[in-house]
Amino acid sequence: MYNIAIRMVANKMDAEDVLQESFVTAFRKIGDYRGEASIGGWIRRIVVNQSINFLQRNKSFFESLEEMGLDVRHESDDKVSGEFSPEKIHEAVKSLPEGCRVVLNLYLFEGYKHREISSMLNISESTSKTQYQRAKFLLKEKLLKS
Amino acid sequence: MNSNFEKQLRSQRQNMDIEAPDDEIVWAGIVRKLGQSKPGRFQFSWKAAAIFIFLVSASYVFYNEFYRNKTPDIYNITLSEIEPAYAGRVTTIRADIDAKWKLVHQSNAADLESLKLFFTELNDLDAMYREYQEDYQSYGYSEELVRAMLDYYDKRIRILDRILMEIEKQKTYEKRNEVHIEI
Repeated sequence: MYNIAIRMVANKMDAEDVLQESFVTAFRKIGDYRGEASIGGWIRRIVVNQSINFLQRNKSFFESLEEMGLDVRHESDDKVSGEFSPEKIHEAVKSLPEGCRVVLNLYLFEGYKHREISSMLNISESTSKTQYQRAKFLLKEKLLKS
Repeated sequence: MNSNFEKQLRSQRQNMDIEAPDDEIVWAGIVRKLGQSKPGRFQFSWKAAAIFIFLVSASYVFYNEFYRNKTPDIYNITLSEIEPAYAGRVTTIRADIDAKWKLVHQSNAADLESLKLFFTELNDLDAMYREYQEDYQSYGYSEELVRAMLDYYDKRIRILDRILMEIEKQKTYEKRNEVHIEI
């Protein structure tokens, strides 16, 4: 749970705050858990939502989501040479710009669809897709340089 | 060697959980926040909640180690979709499960530690259900699979019944103790 939070907010103290809020929320809302999904998945969704709430308190988050136009430069080839260690990927993800980092985490690692991400972040589906392409492009660049 | 970048990232997902929080700071914050909202009663129950959530999270992480790395979409398939003839029955069973969960939550069980085993069983059962969904994805429809999925619901109800019985037992025990003290 902590690793989900830190990949979303990219800061140890902030991630600890998110984790605290998530567990407090889980405890208070345990009555809402209906047993349809696994309880671990339920808590995980709380962590994701708390991370987004945390980031949305900063104006810069919205700016970082909108700052990218539809730049075709980021429609890059998905092939890459070599294997990257999980540690390097984890660190590289944390160093991505805020907006695209969140989209990448939600889509690639948490399994949300662009449609769901667009409603979670209040952005258009195409912005979500563009931010994802951008994140992948930047991530690949960082990993190849490291 | 060229490989698909996205696939490589996805496949490393589980191994990327490499950082750990400062447990003391996190728990101290949780206690403080719970204490702020409802003083008194929460002073005791946060411990039970913390144990409960920790156990669930730990078993979830353990479960993920073995079963994740698979596309999540397949886990959305329901028994009603696999066998529409059972849709009505599944709806009834699910309503029954919801009602029992509600009772569990309303009961405010104090001794969550004694319910640990049941929650572990529920997690195991969920893992099994996901395997059935994977089987459906891989091999398609079979009567055995439908029976197994129905059996999952029956078992889930039985475990919930046992949880409710255990809670009832705890309450009876507490009442007896109170009577003893009064005497």
